Amino acid sequence: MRRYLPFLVIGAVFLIAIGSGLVLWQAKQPSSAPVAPIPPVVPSAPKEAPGTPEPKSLHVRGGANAPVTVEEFGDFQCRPCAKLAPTLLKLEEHYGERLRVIFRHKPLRPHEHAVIAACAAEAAGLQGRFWEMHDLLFENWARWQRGVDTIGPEASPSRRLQSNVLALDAEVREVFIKYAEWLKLDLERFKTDIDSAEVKARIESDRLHANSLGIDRTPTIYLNGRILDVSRHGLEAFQAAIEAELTGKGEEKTASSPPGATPEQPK
Amino acid sequence: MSNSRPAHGSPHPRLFASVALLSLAGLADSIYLTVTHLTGENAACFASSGCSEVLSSVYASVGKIPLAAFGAWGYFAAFSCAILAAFGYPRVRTFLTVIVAGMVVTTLWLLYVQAFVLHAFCDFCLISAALSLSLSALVATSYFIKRRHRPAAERAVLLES
Repeated sequence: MRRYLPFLVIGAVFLIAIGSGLVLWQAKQPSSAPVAPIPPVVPSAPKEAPGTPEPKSLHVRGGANAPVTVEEFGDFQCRPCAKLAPTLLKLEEHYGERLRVIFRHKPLRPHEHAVIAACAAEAAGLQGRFWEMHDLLFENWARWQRGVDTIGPEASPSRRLQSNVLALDAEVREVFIKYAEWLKLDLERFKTDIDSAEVKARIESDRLHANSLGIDRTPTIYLNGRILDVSRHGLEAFQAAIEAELTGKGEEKTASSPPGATPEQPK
Repeated sequence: MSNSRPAHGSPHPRLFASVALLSLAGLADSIYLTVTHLTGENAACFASSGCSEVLSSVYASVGKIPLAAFGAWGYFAAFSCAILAAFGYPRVRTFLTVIVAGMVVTTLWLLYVQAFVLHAFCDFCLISAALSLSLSALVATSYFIKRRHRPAAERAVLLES
């Protein structure tokens, strides 16, 4: 018996490992663990391909007929998204009307304040200042999630900013109201809108759209409807990919296409 | 007798049992990360704040396969070898050494990526790094003990004969 004991132990551990993995898998299914307090809504266009604007709720800036469209699925509490933001801004400045940027929400579950940040951006959007709030949130990524309501690189670092402790939801909300004040928004309307069903429905619509495309990480970037490897999203690499699209070489350069994607052709 | 199993069992079963226990902890960590990755979520950090950045980066998967899945297989292989070694199968120590060496190299690479490429750390990755480095220390110790005690063991065999 002793001769077979180690093999029995190994077999038992193998079965327990597989079993616990399956149990964990079941427990982590979205239907059994709803975290984000968003009411379920029917997505407006679940099979919509990346790069195809949805006029009602989509956030677009840049040239309306631009030959190159960069579509980002982002999360305001995601550090890589915050790092990508200045790169995208530089590209927008450089290409002007030849580049169109689309932002869609994909708040990730572990990010405690991602949904409320998206709500703040959408609430600002209802007053026509989505992109200003978008830029403010990414620029001050490290500050607002710790409840620090200073802005800009010149702001003096506080002890709280240097710590790893995240702010409470109410503290973050206060910071966003401060941002709304700086953006000269109607504060009473902003405070109402940030919790409104309309704002939450817009975020949920984007999130479901991202899920329908199989997007599980942020930032996920589509360049003219084709996914772009974000590991090479430095300014030069991004610029090279856009240049390739502008000169009609995008088809050769891109690595993979998402299901249902209908890439736009450079004009 | 020239089979792979010595008559008197492992020279240091407790050490290999420790290796097996650490491998089990690593296996649990890796399974959690694998399932979290496959379900499209990111693991929530409890000490640092960089879990989602690390686990949603391109370094977290090889193609469509999460890197943690390879880790789970590595830990399971290390556990199996350690159990067999504890029960007196000496030849599996070579496999255990190779597996643990591979894990250490991967760990060092991932620590470099976290520190200098992503500038973010993930608790679960750091736990795995600590476990694999501990495994390497234990396996190295097993060789050290083996070498120190070999003359005494050989003397005992001579006395018995």
